[in-house]
Amino acid sequence: MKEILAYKLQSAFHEYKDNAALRIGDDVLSYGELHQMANAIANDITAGFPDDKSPVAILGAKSFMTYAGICGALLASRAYMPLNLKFPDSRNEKMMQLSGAKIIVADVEAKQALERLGENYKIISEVDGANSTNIPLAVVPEDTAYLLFTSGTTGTPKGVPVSNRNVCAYLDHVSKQWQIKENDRLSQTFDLTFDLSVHDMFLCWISGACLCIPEDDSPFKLASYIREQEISVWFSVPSAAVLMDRMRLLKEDKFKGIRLSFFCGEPFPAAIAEKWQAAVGGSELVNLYGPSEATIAISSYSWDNINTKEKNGIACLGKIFEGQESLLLDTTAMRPAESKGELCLGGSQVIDAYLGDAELTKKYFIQLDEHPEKTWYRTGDLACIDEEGDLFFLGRADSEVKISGYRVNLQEIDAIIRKATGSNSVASILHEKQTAVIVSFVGGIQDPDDRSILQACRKELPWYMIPERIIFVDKMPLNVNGKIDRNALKQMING
Amino acid sequence: MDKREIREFVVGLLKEKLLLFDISGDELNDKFDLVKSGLLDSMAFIDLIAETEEKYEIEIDFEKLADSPGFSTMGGLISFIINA
Repeated sequence: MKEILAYKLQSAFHEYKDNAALRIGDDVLSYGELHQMANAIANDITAGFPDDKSPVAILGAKSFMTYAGICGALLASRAYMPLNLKFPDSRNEKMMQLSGAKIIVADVEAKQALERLGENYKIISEVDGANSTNIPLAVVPEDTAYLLFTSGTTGTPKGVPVSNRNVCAYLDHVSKQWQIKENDRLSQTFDLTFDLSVHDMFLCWISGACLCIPEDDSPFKLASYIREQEISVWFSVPSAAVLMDRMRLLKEDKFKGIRLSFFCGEPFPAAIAEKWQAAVGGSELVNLYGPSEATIAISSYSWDNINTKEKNGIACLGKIFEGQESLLLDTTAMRPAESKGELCLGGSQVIDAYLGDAELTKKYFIQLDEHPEKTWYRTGDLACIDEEGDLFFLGRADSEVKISGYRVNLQEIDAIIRKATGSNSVASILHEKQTAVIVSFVGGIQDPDDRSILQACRKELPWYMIPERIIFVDKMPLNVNGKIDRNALKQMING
Repeated sequence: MDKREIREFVVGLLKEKLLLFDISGDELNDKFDLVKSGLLDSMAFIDLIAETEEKYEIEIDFEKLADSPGFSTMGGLISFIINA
C-alpha cells in the first residue's frame, strides 16, 4: 500500500480530518470535507463505468470542485488527467482522444468549454453527496496515477503516464528530506497541467498542511498572495521570481514568513536566487531539477550563503535524489562519459514508456552496452558534473526550449506553421530578451500574412507556444551542412 | 503630462503589436485589458511600464499598482501613471 497515491491520500483524510486542506481566499475546506466531496465524485465515477480503467479528465479553474475531482479520480482507483481552460479546444480534445478518457469532472467555470468539447463524455459537475462511502482501492503500483502531456516534435503532444510507484517514490523522498508541518501553508502557483502542481497538492496533503490557492492567478498579484495567505512554503518557476524582481519586490526580509522555497522548471539565474534568499530572510532555498518523465524533480541543490555554486550564471542542479540514478552520455559513442554529456536518468521515479507510442519510447528510453539490463531516459539536457558530484545544466541537445517553465518543442510550432502556410521552410527560434520569446521564420511564400499564421497557432497551441512574431524571408540562411542556420536567424533579429 | 499624452505614448509603444493582433485604435479604449487580451505577457507589461517610468521620470510602486482595480486596462494603467 506504500506505493499507492490514493492510499496515502486516504490515510491523510483520516489522520488530519479537522485540519484545513484547501484555502481559496477566505473559503476553507477541511480534510474531512474534501474527503467527502472526493468520495461522492469517486462513487459517481464508479457508478458510471464500473469496469473502466481509463483516466478521469479534470476541467476547471482552481476551485474546490477541481481539487476534489482529482482526489475523487484517485479514490475511484483511476488516474487523473488535467485539461486546461486556457488551452485551445483542439488541444484539450486531442488529450481526450489520446488518453481514451470517458469521464470529465468539471466545475462551473468549465461550462462553455464543455459545450464545445461535445456530448460524448460523461460529465460530473455536481457533488450530490448522496453516496460518499469509501470505495475499496483496487490499484497496483504500476497503475498510472496521473497522465500529463508535453510538447512533441510532430504537432501531437506526448502523453506522460506517471505511475503510483513513480509518484510515491518522489513524495517519500521529498517529505523525508524537507519536512512539511501541519501548520504550514503551501503555495499553489502552477497550472494543474504542469506536473509541479502534483508536488504542491500531495506533499501538502500527506503532511496535513494547508494548500493555499491564489484567487487571482495574475503573476502580478503574487506578492499580495504571499502576504494575505501567509504562505510559509513556496514553490514556483524561477520566472515568477524574475518578474517579482523586476517589480522591485525582492527587498530584504520582504517575504520572511516563507521558511522554505522550492524552484523548478527552468534554469534558475544565480543572481535571482541570491535576491530571493535575502527577501525570505535567509531561509532554505531549494533548486529542483527534473523532467516530467522522471516525476516532478529528481535532483536538488540547497542554496544558501555558503553554497552558491553556479555555472554561466545558472544555479547548480545539485545531486540526484538518493535511490535514483543518473549518468552522462557521450552521444557519439553511445557510452557513459566522464564529466560532461547528455543527462540520462533511471530508477523508481522514471516512467517506463510514453502513452501508446512505441517508437517515441524507443528513442528516449534506451539500454547501453555497459548496463544492458537497465533502461535510461534521455532527458535531452546537456550537463556536467564536478568533483563533489554536483550537476550543472549546460543547455539542450535538441530543439526543446523552456518558456516560463513550460517545455516547448520548437519543431511542434514549425509543424503547425508548415500546415498553415504550405511552406516547407519554417524555423522557430528562442529569442532571449528580458525573458525568452519565440520568433518564427517563414521562407519562400507568395503572400506573407502573419496574422493568419498567428491565428492558426492560437487555434492549435497553448498560449506559451505562440510566436511573438513572424518574420518572412526570401530564402532561409543555411550553414555549411545545408541545415537552417539558426545563429544567422538570431543575428537577423538582433541586427 | 495629461491622459491624452500618456495614452499616445503607450499606443506608440504598442504599435507593432496592435497591427499583429489586428486591434484598431477604437478597440483600445479605457476598458481594454492589455494582459488579459493576450496582447502583452506579464514581462512585456512590465517592460511597458519601465519605458513609461523612464520617459516621465517617475517610479511606479508595482505592489500598489497590482492591488489597484483594473490596473492592466488602458484606463487603469493611465490613471495610475498620472497619480504616480
